[in-house]
Amino acid sequence: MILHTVNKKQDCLQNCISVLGENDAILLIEDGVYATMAVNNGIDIWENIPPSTRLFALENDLVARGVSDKILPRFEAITLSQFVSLSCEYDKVISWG
Amino acid sequence: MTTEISYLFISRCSPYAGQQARAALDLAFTAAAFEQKVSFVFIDDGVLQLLDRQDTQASQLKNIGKMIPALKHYDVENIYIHQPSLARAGLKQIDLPNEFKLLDDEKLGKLVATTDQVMVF
Amino acid sequence: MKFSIVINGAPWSSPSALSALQFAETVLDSGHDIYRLFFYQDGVLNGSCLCVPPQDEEDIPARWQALIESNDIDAVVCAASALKRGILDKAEADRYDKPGHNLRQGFTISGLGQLIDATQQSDRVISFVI
Repeated sequence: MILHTVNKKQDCLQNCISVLGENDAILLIEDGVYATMAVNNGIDIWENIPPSTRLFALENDLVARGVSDKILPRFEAITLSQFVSLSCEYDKVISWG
Repeated sequence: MTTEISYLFISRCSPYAGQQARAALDLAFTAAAFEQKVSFVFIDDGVLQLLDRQDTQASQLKNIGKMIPALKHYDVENIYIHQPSLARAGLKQIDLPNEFKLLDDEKLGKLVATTDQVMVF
Repeated sequence: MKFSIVINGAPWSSPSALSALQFAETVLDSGHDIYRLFFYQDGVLNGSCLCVPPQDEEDIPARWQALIESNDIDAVVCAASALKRGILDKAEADRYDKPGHNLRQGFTISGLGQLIDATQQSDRVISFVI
C-alpha cells in the first residue's frame, strides 16, 4: 500500500499512474491539484484508474487555486492533518514531483 | 546502528536541466557506500542521461554521462532502464551499457512496491 | 510515529518548501515526532539567516527556525549542496576563507549520510520535491 503524492499535472502524474498498485492511493498537492478537474487536454486521465484506487487532493491547494468547486466527484479533498494520517496509514509515501 | 533496507532511486530528468540527475546519483553513491541494497532506474527524460557521447568540455557543464558508470563501481546492485521511456525519447537505437536491465511498467511497479525506500529525482 | 522530512526546494522558488514546512508543523501538531529535517539541493537555501521577505509574504526560513528550536529537532543541510550555494556556518567560512557566514541557528551542516541514516531510523520519510 503506497501513498503517491504528485505536485505537477503532467509527466510525473503519468509516471505515478503507470506503476500504480492495487491498494495504492494518489494525493495531489500544489499544482498537481489542477488534475482534479474533469478533463486535461481533452483526455480524462482518471478514466482507466480502477475505482478501488483512492484519490485525494489537498484542500488548501485546491482552494488557493480556485478549483475546489470543479473537482471530479471521485476526489476527496483532505486537510494537512489528514495528509499526515494517510502517511501513517500507508506503508510508504513516494513523491513523484 | 545500521539496519539494511532497500532503496530505489528513480531518475526522471534530463542530465543538464537542473541538479536533479546529479542529486539522484550522489544519493545512490552514498546509500551504496553504507552497504545498503540499492537499485537505480532511469525513466522519462532520465534516459537521456545514458547517451554515451556526452562531451561537456565546451559547454563547461559537469559531465553527468561520465558519472553513470560509477554506479557499478559503487556497487549499486541493480541498474534499470524503463523501456517505454526509451521509445518515447526516440532512443530505440541507443547503445545501452551492458549490465543495465530493461524493465516495463509492470516490473517497475513491482520494484516500487517491494522496495522499502523509493525516492524520485 | 517517527517522521523524517526531505526538503528539496528553495523558499519561494516553488511551493515545495512551504508545503514541507506546513507538513512538518502538522506532524508535530498531530502528536508525532520528527527524527530529522534534511535539506537537500536548493532546499539548503531555507537555512539562510539573511533572507528578507516582503512583509506580506511568509518568512519561511524563520518559521523553520522556530519549529526546530521550539521542538529541539535535528535539522541538517546537505554539505555539498550548501557550500556551493553559499550557505556556510562559521567553521566552513573560516576553512574556505570567506568573509561571512549565514547558516541559521538551529541548522547544522552535514553529509548525505545523514539522509541515509534518517531513512533507517524513521518510520516514514516524506520528500517534498520541486
